[in-house]
Amino acid sequence: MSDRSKTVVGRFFDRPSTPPSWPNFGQTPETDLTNHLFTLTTSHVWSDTNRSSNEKQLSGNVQRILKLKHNLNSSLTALSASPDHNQVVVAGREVLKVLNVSEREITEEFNLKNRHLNKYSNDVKWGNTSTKNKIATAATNGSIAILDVGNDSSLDRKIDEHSRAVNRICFNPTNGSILLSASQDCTMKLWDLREPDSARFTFEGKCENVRDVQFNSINQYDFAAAFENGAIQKWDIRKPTIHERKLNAHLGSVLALDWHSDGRTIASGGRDKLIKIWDMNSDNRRPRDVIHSMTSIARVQWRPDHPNEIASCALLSDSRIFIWNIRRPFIASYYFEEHEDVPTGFLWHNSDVLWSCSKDKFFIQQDINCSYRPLSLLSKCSIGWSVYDKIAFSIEKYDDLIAEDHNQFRIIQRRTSPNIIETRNETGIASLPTFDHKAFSYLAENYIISNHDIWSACEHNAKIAWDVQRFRTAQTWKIIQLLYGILEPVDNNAHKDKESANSLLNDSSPTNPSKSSNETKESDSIKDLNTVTEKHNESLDVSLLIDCFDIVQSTYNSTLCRNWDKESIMMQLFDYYAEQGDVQMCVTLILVLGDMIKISQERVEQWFFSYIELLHRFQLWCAATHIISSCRVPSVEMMNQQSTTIYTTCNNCFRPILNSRSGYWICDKCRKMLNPCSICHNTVKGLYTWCQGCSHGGHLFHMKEWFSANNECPTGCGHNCSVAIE
Amino acid sequence: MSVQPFDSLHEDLIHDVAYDFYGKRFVTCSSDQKLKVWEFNQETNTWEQVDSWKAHECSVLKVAWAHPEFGQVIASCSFDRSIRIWEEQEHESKNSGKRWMEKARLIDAKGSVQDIAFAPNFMGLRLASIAADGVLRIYEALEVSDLTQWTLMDEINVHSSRNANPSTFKDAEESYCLSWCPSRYQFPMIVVGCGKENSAKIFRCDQNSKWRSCEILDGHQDLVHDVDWAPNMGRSYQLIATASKDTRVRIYKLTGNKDGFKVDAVAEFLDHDREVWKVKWNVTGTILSSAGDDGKVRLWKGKNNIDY
Repeated sequence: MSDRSKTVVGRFFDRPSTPPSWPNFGQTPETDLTNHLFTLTTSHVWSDTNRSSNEKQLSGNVQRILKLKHNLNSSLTALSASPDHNQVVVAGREVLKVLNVSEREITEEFNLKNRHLNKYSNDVKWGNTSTKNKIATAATNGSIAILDVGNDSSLDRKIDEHSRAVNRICFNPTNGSILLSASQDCTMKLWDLREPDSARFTFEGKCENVRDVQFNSINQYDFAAAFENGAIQKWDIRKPTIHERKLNAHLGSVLALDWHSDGRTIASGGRDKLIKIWDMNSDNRRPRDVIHSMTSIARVQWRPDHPNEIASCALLSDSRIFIWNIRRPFIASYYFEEHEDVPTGFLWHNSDVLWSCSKDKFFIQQDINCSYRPLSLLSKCSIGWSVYDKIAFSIEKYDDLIAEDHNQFRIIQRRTSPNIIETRNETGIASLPTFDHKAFSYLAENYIISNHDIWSACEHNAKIAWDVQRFRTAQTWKIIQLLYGILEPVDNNAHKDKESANSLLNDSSPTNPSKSSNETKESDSIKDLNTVTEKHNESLDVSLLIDCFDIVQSTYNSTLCRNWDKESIMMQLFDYYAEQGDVQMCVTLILVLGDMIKISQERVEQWFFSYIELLHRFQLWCAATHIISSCRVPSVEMMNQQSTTIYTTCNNCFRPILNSRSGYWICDKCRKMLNPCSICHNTVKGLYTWCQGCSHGGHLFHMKEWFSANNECPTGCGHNCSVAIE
Repeated sequence: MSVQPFDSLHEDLIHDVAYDFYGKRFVTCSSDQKLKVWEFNQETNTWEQVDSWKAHECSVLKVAWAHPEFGQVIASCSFDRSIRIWEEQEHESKNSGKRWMEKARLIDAKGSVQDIAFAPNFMGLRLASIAADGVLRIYEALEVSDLTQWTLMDEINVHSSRNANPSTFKDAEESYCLSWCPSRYQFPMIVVGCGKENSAKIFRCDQNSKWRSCEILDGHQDLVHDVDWAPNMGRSYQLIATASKDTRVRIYKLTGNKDGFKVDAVAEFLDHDREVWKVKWNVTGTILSSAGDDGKVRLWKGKNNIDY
């Protein structure tokens, strides 16, 4: 069942590491560090289609290991690759190790930590060109150690010039002797390692702690620095006194930056959860692109050979490494979820393979093909129904629109365009002719729902239904009228009807013409139906009633077969309308017929609740209330007695009136009668009328009497109430 | 049939659209982290944006309106593992970006919150949510007038086999969805699409207010992306539609009383031919719409009642 169990080809626990080819400096390697955990994963077993689609192309090839993990038993803070990318140095609180990384396995080359116990390493960098055998580490106590891994792994040099922690160091990409550092003491220092002197230059950012520095890969004199106050500065090392350019890049600190390989673009990431892309050659002070991430950005790095793609990892709480396309600012293109804790450093081994280290003590080499693609996890379409049977929908962008009628299905068909990156959703609202809310409202407002006079109620309802072209519904009402109408002559008619129908049954075959003749003859026998059937015939001509008569027919047939088994016909009828979702009809029928039919209480409740909800949705409050009050199902009736509360206060002392011994008519506090009539001085129970001007009032008939003769207030307050009334 | 296109002004994919109870407005949510509310303008006969605001720190996956008896309330859920509750502020002007105020933030989920749904109004102001950690969480605002207080009523692990081990999931591999049973039965029910189990399960709340897994809608060959429980409208049976990654739309018919249902798969549509993401019933439960990666919205209408 679990896909994941299939994906792992083999796990080797406690496998001893290959014997270190490097001399151990006379020290026994820490045996606990030789615990390896290899997760070998081959491409063709990744059955999960959430994975990148490229992988399918790989399947069938020679097994290729997409992911290698190596446990270093200590949380890691930084990593750096050797210039030839065969080795990587990882640094952490307790480790500083060089690993051999190949496509198939990771082995520990040697451990540097035991000899050169630095403080907690903030950063580690492998030199290049003239320093290609040297590793520089930056420590929290402000010292920078240069280690020589070329011959005996000795401490080459130790620099203690920063007064506070060094956050980041950087070798010049073209001249490996040039080392630049960014420190918490607000300065950046530059050394030429060929000279034994102290720092050649000190760059004063004059703003804040420096979080990151990096040389431009094209122009060797340029470097950029990221500051804790949100600024980015661009410097030229030939002008060590003042920065060339300054950008207020982020709200909160800038934690990382990376030069693009084109030499003019910088990506920066900060605590404000944004990655901003800056064009350093333009004067524009606003970023060229902004990527919105979920978490604060601790590291950023452009993906080689993919000029629009950039990888980032979080500072806290998110163990994923995201790869963004700068043209899609909200959804990452890929992400890796292999680490179990926050990644602290990563670099691109090549354009597809990423090396990363994390607080979870693992160094991982993984291929882009084993990343996830968030886009494939997100729905690209959405639909919403309104009560008016309008559909709001949004789908990815398409060219044209074809509405298609296909048997009983109505299909909105849209053709897709293959554009993936720059998609914007196509949104629209389709109105469907499937539900006529005007007719619904008209019926809701005009149906008679009392069951005092079934005959005329049916008559009326049939007429109403006819008005809105619900011919079938009208027909049903007519049948009900016949079945349940209690007028004396009706029974006779029904009897006649039965006879005539019986005679018809003997000599007519169930074809369409016979149906209509059937109808016509029946209606001939019933004078009351004359007009209706004329209309029937018309509507038949218009062929609006294509299948409208089958219910009638079946009803008649069943009436004939089952000897007027009203109950079963009615059940069929109710079922039919319920299937159609026409609760309006069901509810109205129940109300009109009252006790004459027996249907399970539960279903009736369902119909009522559904219908009342529909009425509410269409804001037909009066109709809804009317339905509720005429319903005899207790749970429905209760609806009108809920959630309506009127709080009253005493008109003398303004205390709230509670239901006490004395009832609602006397205030408990001041013992006075409430709302007395100004004329008879008795409490008004019932209609209370008062003047809006002086707020005196009383019984309606007393007031009428008074104001027929007087203009002023009966209390003698002097207010000319009749004027106010006018 | 007329289709009226409108420009959503969203900067990225729209993941959900929800109409309010009266069909007068709707809200859209998008990967650009924004929610937008739209209202129909009678004069110009168009839908107009009335507000837009940044709602989350990440893609907003689902959005839902509460019943208007609780006021104008929207809930949204996101990849950022939170659910947020928004209430309209009548005094703020339209399009000010302040009209919808964040009232609450529910952050219990340990993975991205993949679906939310308000319970039918007769159960009170309740919100069900499901996150990538496979836990169904039901919240209730006990005091309806105070939207800032939501009590976590229930936490149900939808996987019976995987015993509460939330650390083993990976966001990317899970897909959950849920839908309340809209009818007034004695016991509330929710249908939940259960991620990698490739099935949907019905959860029912018994007399002791304990949620239990009951019937299983199986037959799916891949993740279930969406479920929707049709409005019952007094039919003798219930309908549930599912959308699955295996390119199919399925309809299940539940017959039986409230003690238990007999589940039949009554329809299976292959027309999408690509992943199907959404299914939705209309108000009367007679027409089903589905949308998928093929970029089409398809409408299905029952003919002869059951035979779709």
